[in-house]
Amino acid sequence: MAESVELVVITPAEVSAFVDGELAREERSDVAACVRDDERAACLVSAWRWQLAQLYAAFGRIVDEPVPHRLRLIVAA
Amino acid sequence: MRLTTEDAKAIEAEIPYLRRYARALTGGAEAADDLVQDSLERAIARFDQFRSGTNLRAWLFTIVHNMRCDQHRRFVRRPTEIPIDDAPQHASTRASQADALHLADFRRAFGRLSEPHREVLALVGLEGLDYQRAAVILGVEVGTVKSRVFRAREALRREQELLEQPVPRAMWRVAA
Repeated sequence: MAESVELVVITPAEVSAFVDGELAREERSDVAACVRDDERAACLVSAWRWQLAQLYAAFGRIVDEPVPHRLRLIVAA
Repeated sequence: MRLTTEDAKAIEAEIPYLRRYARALTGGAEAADDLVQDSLERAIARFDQFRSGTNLRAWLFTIVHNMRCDQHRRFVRRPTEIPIDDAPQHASTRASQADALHLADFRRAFGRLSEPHREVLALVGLEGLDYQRAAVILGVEVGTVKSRVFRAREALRREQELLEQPVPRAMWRVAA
């Protein structure tokens, strides 16, 4: 008899949550193993991490801009 | 409602984050600051509803979200595609022209997402909030945030691919 293999089904939505660090420990290690072994899962992770990097590059530095006077006035009033 | 100096300072410190979130939602700098202005006015008027000790930024994001919902109700027939400022975001950014073009494409693709998709990616991906906090801000279940982030990522990838489609050769010939 072949030893039994536990079948773990990983959905893309779980891979997405994995990218955001939103999985509990056990799920996280399942997805991490899947990303290691499965090229499609690995592709999703790198594509979504790249999206996050672009999102940050596109909008991230807005927090460094000086706050317009009209907005500071509202709080100061 | 009259703010204490301390409260006013605390709110003022959050304005850069409100501006960034609003910019991701609206695309344009002017529209974003209008949204922030309206939200700040509402926040100050209702500041007695803020429970001290809880997260001020999350409370303010909730107000921006609700303000947007109100705006959508008022302008029901508003087109889904939003204008995007393609100008470089920051003068000191030494991005090469190719990088700047690439980011402009990214902003365009992001701007073509639905509002719920933009919101959830902005909160989780840009502002770094966890699903629980994003769920409270958006008034949905945590599971909804999880599936919405996933769908938003897929939708964004589709939009990015569309923008990357090269113009067919035949059209080049017509143009030339």
